[in-house]
Amino acid sequence: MARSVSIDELEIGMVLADPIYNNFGQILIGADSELTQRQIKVLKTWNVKYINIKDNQEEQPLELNPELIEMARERIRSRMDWEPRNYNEMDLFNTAVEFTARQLLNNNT
Amino acid sequence: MILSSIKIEELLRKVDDFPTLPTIYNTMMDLISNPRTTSVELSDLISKDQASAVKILKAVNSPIYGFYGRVTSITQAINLLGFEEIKNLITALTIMDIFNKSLSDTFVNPVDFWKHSIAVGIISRLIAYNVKAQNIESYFLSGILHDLGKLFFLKVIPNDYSKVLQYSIENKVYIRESEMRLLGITHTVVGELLAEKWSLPKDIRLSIRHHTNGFVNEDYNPLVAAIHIANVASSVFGLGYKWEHVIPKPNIEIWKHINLPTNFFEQSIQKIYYDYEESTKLLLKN
Repeated sequence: MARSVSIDELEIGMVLADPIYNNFGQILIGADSELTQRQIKVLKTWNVKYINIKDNQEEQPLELNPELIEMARERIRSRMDWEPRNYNEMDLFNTAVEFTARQLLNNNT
Repeated sequence: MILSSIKIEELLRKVDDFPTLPTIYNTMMDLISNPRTTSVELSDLISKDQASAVKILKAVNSPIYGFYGRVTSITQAINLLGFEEIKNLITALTIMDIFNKSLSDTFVNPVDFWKHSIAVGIISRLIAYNVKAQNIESYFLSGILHDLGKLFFLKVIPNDYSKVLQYSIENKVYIRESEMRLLGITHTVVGELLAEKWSLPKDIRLSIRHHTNGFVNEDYNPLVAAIHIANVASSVFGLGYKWEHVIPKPNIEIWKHINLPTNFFEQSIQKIYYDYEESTKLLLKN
């Protein structure tokens, strides 16, 4: 996963997720390069504001337990006065249950 | 029960009396709609308005447009996005500015409304990409502005409108139902009037007016349909509202027309959430 980082928060060794282009579309710094002190300085002089950086922590999806999923389902159900009626609505509802469960998990950890 | 303090005629007059959009906005729109305008001329005008210029660069470099830090000048932004998209972006930023400034002294937080609107904008744009819609650039702006009427109510009748919101939570009814009961008029109708007053594009007026139903009277309109679905989805995902509001029921007929893959939400949720987090940070930071 990449995240967007403000120029002021850049650190040496961060890995670029996307290449940096100049106004003519030429690549100045390639993707996957580790930023050096000099490059950060140059980016500042170019007045670049945000840069896409690769997250070094590998995304580790935490385990969702059945109670958490049930809690999420109830939370959404309590605000709904309808049942999913077709595949699209089931897709929406099930995705929301998992999404909410993950948020509950992240808020607790 | 109708709130005795407020009359429909009075609300309609408040729409008439509501401020027009700033002069600089109209100057920009005139320039953009002139086919002979060059990107340098437009860039010169935008650059004179420092605040707009900074906001445009921020937005262009945000995940909304995905140029992540690559766009460093207004001319470049115009060349990459095109006049139509720049026009939409300026409109969104101008209107957000009006309501952010004027609402800060009320106790209902307008930021929550904008967060919901940004979520609707992001989801409708993804729907547009997915169904290969035409005029994709209208989708984000229409999403951002679909609840214009609610912001108007919050601005002109903050106390009465908090009662409306309270009523819909306590009685578990849609906000538009409590608006009908307590005010006698809904945010969709008032929002459309305001959009007319501001001469916003027709597509946007239609989505403000019809997003709760999804159809324009009997007719299918892909943009309005996408806003309808995105509005339901952002509510199911809980993006943007702090309070426990009722999740709107989708109009089942819409699914038959819109033709979304049946795993669209499962496939898109990560991108939706990432774009939502980044965009709210950038657009709502002062």
